[in-house]
Amino acid sequence: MYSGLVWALPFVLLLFTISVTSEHTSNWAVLVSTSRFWFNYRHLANVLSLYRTVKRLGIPDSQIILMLPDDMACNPRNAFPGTVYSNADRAVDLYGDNIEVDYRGYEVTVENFIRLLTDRLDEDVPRSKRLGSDAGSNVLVYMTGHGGDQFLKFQDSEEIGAWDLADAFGQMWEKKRYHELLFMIDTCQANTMYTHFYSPNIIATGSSALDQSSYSHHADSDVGVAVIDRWTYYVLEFLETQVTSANSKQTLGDLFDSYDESKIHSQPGVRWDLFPGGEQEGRLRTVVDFFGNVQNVEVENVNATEPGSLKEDLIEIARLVEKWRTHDRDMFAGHNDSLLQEGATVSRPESDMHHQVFPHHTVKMKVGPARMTEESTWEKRFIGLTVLGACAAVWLGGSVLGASPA
Amino acid sequence: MAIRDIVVNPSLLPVLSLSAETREQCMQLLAVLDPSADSYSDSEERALAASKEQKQLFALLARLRGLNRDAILRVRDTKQATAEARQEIDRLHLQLQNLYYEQRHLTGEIAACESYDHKYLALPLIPLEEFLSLHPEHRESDEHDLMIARINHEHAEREKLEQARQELLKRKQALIAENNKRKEDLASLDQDLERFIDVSLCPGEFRAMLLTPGRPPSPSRRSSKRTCINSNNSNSPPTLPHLVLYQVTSPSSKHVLVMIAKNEDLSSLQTVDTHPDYTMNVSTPSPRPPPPEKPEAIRTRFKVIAAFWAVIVFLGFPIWWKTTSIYRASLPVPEMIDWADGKTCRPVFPLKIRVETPHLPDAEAQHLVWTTQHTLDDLNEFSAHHLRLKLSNDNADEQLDELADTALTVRLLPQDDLINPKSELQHDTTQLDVFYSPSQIPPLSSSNPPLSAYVAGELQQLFTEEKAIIAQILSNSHAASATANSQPPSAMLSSVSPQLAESIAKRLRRSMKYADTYHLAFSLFTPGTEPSSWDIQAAVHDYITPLLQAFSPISNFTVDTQVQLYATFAPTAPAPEYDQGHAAWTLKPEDLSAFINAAEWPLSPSIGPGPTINFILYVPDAAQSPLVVKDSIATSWVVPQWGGVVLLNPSNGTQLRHLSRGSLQAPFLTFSHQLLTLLGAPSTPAALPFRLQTLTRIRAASLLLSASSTMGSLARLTESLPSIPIPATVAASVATTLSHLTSACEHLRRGRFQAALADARIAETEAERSFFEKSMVGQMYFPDEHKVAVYLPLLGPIGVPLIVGLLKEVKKAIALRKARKAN
Repeated sequence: MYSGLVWALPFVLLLFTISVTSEHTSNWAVLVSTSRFWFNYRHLANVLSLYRTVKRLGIPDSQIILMLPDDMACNPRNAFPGTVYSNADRAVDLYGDNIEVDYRGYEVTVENFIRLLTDRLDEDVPRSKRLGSDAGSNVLVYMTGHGGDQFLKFQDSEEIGAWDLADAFGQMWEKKRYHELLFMIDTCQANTMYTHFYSPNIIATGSSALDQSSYSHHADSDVGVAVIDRWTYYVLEFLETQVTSANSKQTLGDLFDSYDESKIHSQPGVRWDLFPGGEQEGRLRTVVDFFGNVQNVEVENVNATEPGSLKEDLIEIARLVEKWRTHDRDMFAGHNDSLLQEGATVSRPESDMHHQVFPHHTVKMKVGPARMTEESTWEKRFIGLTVLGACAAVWLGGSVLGASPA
Repeated sequence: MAIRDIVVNPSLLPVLSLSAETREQCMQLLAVLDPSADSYSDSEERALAASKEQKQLFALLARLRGLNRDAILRVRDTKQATAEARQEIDRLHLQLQNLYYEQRHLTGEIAACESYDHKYLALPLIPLEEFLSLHPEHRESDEHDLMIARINHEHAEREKLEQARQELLKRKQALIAENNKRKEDLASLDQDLERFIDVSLCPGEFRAMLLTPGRPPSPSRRSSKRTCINSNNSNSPPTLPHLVLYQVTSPSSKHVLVMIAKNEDLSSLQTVDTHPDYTMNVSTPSPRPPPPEKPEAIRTRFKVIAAFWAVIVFLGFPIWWKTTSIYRASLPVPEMIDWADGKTCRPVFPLKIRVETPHLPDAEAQHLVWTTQHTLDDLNEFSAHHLRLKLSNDNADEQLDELADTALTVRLLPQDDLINPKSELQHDTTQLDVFYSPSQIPPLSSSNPPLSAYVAGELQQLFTEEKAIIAQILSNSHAASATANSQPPSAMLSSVSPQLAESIAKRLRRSMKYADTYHLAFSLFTPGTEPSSWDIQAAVHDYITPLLQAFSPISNFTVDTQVQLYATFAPTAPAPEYDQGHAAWTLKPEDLSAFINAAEWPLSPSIGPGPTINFILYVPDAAQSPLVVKDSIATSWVVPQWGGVVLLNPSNGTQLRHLSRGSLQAPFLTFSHQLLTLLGAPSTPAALPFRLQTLTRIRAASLLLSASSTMGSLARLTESLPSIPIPATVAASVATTLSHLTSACEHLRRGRFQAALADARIAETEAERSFFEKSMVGQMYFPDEHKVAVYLPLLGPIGVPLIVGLLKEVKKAIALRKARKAN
């Protein structure tokens, strides 16, 4: 019946999928610093600068996962307590009043990071600590710390390998946890970290090639340490000066073209080959596709009459509510009758009062002590006693047998 | 004493006389000048005499000065002469002293030399007389030569003696060695004798041979008694000790007993030479082989090695294997991939539509249904979603059963004075009333009556959006494999009008991701202090619960509420502007995304699984009221995938302290609508029950496909990451998922959408649980170099001796087997 259509199918399908997949529906950012201790002040400043930028461009805190392994603002060595600066002019306090750190201190581990990406977390981990991205989400992953050839150190005690990272992204793609992903990393030999990626729709960029160090930009002599890394500094400079609003049309191509090796002192790299359409398509993505938040608020026009509009729905819902109310009333009447019958034996005046005041059902919650586990304690005690008895028997038997030949 | 007595030097005498003369002259002059002695009459005379005397005095004084100078010069000469003479004397004195010291030194040296105690004086030589008697030719020679001769003699004598001593020492060593050897021989003789005795006690197994080479020793054998003992008797068992006794009788009747004990192979050769002067020499210094190992020792060693290997193989190896291996429950991977590729289940949506024809005879009704079905089939180009008309019969049992699964009921009602049929969708049930004029009843003969076409068209129209959405869901899920698949869900899409396509895309964009549980958070925000309370419980119960009840087959809901006072806009958000035309404060539509002060308003997601849908009721300040959106004068908007916002402007401009149930009606109905939108309900047709039914089907389809694709993801994951652990719970979850998927698919095919949705929900939950299993993480990748680095230092030192020991044992065993074969 539709055999003729089979031939036209791939073309039609292609058109449709492109028109659907070319836009994303939400934005997420995962910003990770991996190093601890005061001398790595700049790594936290890097991340906090990026945090400020993505927040400025509209990603809400609930969609930013911020991982800070140390608290520079409250470090006793900080000459400016409660603040973090990424520039020696100290114009902007990155810590500010509104900062939501999701993973802090020793929570920043390789395991937690991989769990975060793959969402293999305990059920009781709050949603603010989860990456709730879906097939329509553009995800920005920014990492900074001390790294080497195909690894990035976490907290001086462990490291994440390029393979693990690639596998984590692979699993994210399998589970449709991102639509497009921009991976940025500022560390020594950063470009080696994305060499093993294999899942599609990833654009990756790093600060330095194999066997190159990634340098800090400048130090603040009052703070006493370097405050920002070079590559991040120039990326931020671009974002601050060129991408001034969430409607900016600057593209990733523009961002990557702004890299100046003479300023960065290392060779930044970009990887396009995983992106469908390669470099040509990738360059056309706007910066705010990843750094900004897509939010097309839909105003509900009171006067619109198209199907599904507010006006039409309101009528329908009012009708539903009315029906529900009559239904409810009938139910209540029946319920009340039964109550009255009960009242013949036990007088419950206050409950009647209650029902008169609130004609709807009040939801009564029974709150009592809850049993934490299903196991019965007696069973456990019995098992414990049995084990103890068995041990004693073994001991006795052993001593009797051991004593007899002597 | 007069001066003449002091000065006696004749050279000074003229000086004395002259000085006396001068004195005399002085006296005369004084006398002349003396006025008292008036010898001269006049002064002139006196002056003359005085000058005369003075001249004489001057001459005398001059002479005296000359003499004085001479005297001084002479004294000076004399002094110099005296000094020179003294110098000479000093020099000579010094020389004399030097000589004296030299003399004393020499005498001391001589004394030392004479008293030097030389060795040769104390040489232990033979006395002189003895020497002279030995060598009388030296009697005439002097002492020195004599001494030399004596020393030479002594030296020669001593060398001779030393040589003799060395020889003796050597002989002593040889004797000691010989002694030791004899001792050993004697010691082993004891043992061998014992063994010999033992052996001889069990005759038949042993053979001892005692050789006595001739009673009278022949002279020819005396010089060399080289004995070669050949003992390997081929007929004796090789393992038995074989004893040979050999007795040699020397001419001096000294007996040397040589015993050789042997095991299986031979053979020691020993040569004994007997010297006439009783000195013995061992002529074969070759090292003796170590004594053969005892069989018990060999057995013990074998046992030790075997014990070590047993521990390693039966204990170490299993422990290592157990602790390092990753548990991977077996998953039905091909089946899972088939599900993901849509090979196992092709979701179909046969919608049952009941046709009630209370005013038609059965035959005609049957015909009408048949023709309408035919027309519908012709119209439909999407095979997965099709409508099945069924004439309702009055079978009560069947009806009850089917009512739940009936998508739509069509009632055909006759109505007079109608030119064209018209239809009306009931709002509270899924029922379509079609009114027709009785004249339009098709005759049984007509194949395509207009009434059938009309009904078919209406039905088609009703399901257009649902079809489009389902087609889109199917095409999306099969995007990867669709080219190989003959299923054409997207064929349907090509016929979709652009307006509908846009609406579908919009629905996709704004609707929340499916979750089993949604948290609804209703928040009242106000910039000031009022209103500070609201009848939220009543409002939720009245306006939200009906909808939630309707949604209950699809998802669960929890409701939270909060009131936040002093909720101000973000400092960066643009402030509302006053619009004179509408007499209202307005917000620009493009600024609405900044309306919510995400930083300060406590809109954090709820605790517990499932996403939160936020509904914000914002009551503006009295000074800024009424607040509306510019241009459209709307007071509400939807934030896609997040929630909705409603501005509530108090009706009369006064601020309310408490929001009553009545004033909450409009906002909460709007919230209900927003909830409907956010949950992805289709927008057509108008009737809510119908839309909810449609949503049920859509959700069933999307959940089925999403669970299937999760299965595929999990299958691919397990194949691509061989080091990831797969706990048994995952396998259980997968099994549950697959069984529920199968039953969901079956339900779909039968048209039981509620049941299908229930199954699909379980399948989805289980699939998610299996994919997001907590323990399926870990440090997944270990490069091989790391493993080598871990194992090598640990196992190297243990492994080498064990392996070498094993190899040695194996070699020995092979050699033994060969030897056995050879014998």
